[in-house]
Amino acid sequence: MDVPSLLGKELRWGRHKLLALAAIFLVLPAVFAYVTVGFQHVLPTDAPVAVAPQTAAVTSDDLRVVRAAVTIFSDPVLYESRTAAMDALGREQVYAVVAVPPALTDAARGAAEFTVYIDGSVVPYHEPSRGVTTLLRTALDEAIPRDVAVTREFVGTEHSLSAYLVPTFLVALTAIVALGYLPHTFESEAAVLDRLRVETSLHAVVASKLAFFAVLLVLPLAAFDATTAALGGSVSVLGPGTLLVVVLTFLLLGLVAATIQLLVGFGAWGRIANLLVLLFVLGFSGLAYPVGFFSPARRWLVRQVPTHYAAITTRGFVLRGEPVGAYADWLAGLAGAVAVAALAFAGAAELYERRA
Amino acid sequence: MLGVTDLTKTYGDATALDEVSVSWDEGLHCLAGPNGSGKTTLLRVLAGLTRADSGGVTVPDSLGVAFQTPNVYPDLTVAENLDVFGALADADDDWRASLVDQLRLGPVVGRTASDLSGGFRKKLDLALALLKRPDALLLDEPLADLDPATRRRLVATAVRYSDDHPVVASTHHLDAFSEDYATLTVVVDGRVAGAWDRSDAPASPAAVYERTLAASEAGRGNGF
Repeated sequence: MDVPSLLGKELRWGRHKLLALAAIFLVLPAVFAYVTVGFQHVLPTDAPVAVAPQTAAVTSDDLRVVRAAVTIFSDPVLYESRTAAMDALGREQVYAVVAVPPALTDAARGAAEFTVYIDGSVVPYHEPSRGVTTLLRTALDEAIPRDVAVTREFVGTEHSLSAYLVPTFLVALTAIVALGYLPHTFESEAAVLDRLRVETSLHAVVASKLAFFAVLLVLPLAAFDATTAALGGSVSVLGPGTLLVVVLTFLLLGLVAATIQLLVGFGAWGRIANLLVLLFVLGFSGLAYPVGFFSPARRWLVRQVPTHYAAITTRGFVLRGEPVGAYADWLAGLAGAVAVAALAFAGAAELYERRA
Repeated sequence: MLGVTDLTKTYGDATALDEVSVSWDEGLHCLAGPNGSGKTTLLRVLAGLTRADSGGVTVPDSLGVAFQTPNVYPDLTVAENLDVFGALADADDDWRASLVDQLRLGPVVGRTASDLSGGFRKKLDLALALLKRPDALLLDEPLADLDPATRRRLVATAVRYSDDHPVVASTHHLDAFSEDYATLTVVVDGRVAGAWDRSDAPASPAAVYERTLAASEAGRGNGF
């Protein structure tokens, strides 16, 4: 019978492809499971929450009392002023700002009126913020001798989940093009790579490809704007800030993809390595859930990933209508990451030439 | 002028080229040797595609290379391939048209390269190598797997170009060049086993090659 013989052939073939098979059937599912488990933390228990004074009359003792109460359900961060705390809210460094009224220990005063500010663009925190407000009221009732009133207030437009997912889609699409489709096009270029190296250089080949796809990425932004405008939607993505962050993110990830292919090869290994990086970027950039929803260790990891800042700035431009200057430092950081990736690519190209 | 001096190239423990010295002027030069003898490595070093461990390389300002496996964009048409590499080479339209004519590519200019037969892909590859009118031309196994008519067409194009440029062809099909070759260099185990100048004493390059190979295998060195 032919089938057993052919199964024997498959086993022999598998012996030669052990690493590739392990990567596809073991490592990929494990990475997927790890990323998926990350999303179980949908009710943030230690998301950073700012504690800031409502007025100049608030003392450090007042702030300490509130900070202790906030510790019960989140990770409190003390701010000297409400303005600084609100800035941190706009940069998703905190997910709520608890504005503290003065004289909390003065029982002779009436109710202490707290305000919890929530950013309208961070949709995944809308629901949890209800629970946070209730918990805060309960904790403060026990902590201070005055009656407590807690008001929840949204900063900016209170967006829907579908609007929230627009920046997520943009960054995810950019990552998929850079780490999924671009490697495929590099792979097809491999058939003519020697001629290209004779006639021009690897650097020129990659630069032209990155430029072409960077320009092409304007199309989905324009298409989205055109579609939402036709449907009467309120979110617009085609602005200088969004364009800048999409292009920088694409250049960064595209250079990473090209570097990986030069180091690992243009075949299956290059594809698998880039796929793993793509999964990492999708899972660890705080695209769907903000980074504060994760454990402190994972939060630390996400904050080391440049695309995390791309996600926040895109949300800032698209949902909060922030000007480009509001994230100048992070955009400069992204540009710096692009420069580092370009250096890594140059190193990989040199290595490729030496090994050729 | 095209050549190498004391060129050595190793891949791990294997020595692909061992202190090879050879130089070529205008004319058609054949490079022969058994499979794995180092011919392709030598051409790749000359083309700047592979770096030598030591030794010198002399190459003119521009080199054209026709590869053993044609290096063409498989997803583009013949015309588009000519457009892309013509733009890189700043090729003029008349020269491009002349190449299309010489290599009989006219009937397939609109076809996708991946749909072409092996012979047409080889011819397209040679056309791409010549687009920039290179100062020297390297041909790596240009006649492998080709029918006699296509071989003649490729040889004629190479011979025409060799009138005023060095053209080096690594090949097992020496008879195809017997009327036109200027020199024959035989490489065995990464070393030059012999070099023959046809102007000194005309002979069939295939016969010279067999004699050199036999001498080399017998350990008698240069058989010329």
